[in-house]
Amino acid sequence: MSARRLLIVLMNTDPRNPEELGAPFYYAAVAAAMDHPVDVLCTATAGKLMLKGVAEAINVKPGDPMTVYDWIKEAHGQGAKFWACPANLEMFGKTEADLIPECNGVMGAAAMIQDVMGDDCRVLTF
Amino acid sequence: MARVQDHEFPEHLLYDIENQIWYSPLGDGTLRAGFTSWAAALMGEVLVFTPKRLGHTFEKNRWFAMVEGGKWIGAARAGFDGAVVAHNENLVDKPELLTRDAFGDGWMLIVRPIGDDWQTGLVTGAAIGPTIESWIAGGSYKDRTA
Repeated sequence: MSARRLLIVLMNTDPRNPEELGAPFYYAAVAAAMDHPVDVLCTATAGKLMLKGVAEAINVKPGDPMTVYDWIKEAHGQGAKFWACPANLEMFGKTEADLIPECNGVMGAAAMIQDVMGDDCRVLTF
Repeated sequence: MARVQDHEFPEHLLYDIENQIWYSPLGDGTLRAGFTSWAAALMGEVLVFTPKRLGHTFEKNRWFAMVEGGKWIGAARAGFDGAVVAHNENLVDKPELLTRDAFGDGWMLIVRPIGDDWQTGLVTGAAIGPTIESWIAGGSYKDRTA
């Protein structure tokens, strides 16, 4: 089995557009269920999704009780690891204490670039 | 035929209880594989069935097929090391067959085990009913369906 890693970067996904929010976490869940190590980095405006209470308040589909947080939990349950951006947290005036429990912590830009440039990593951006 | 929670488990099949996969030896060293009807009932509506590619190998407890619903994702995990020999193309076209006829038209793959010890850990015959009942009572499956 290939141990190739998948890094999913949410950078252009805007929490104000709920229809954009299902796919990244769905792909993360599927890839993790297929035994690939998966890391999901949320930065820029999408960084808000790692803050407590934000994803919980967004329904992917109008009238459907399933929230973005439910999809984050599904992907996390399948083995995906979630990361926030330290500069992003600082921009929003938040700290690691404000992150949802499914978020592993912060991934700096250098760590992300190192992963992106590595031979064993593939990247999906949203 | 064992009967557990209104689901019948044919006793001539071999079962990977933990992964809820059945295997049926085809007499040429290959096995037909599918989800049990009990597992299929937990899934609800299946929208997509994606088998591992033909010829690709898999390891014990790793995925060899994926099933997707609108609100969940599930991996079919192997009970031994092996290789994919054939897919149920009909199931690719009509994934709903998995829940409709899990032990029949809803079969997923034909696989070839690697190694002679592939039956280790699989359950068959009269032991199926009590083993599955005990496994369900243990509740470990809830970790995967929560």
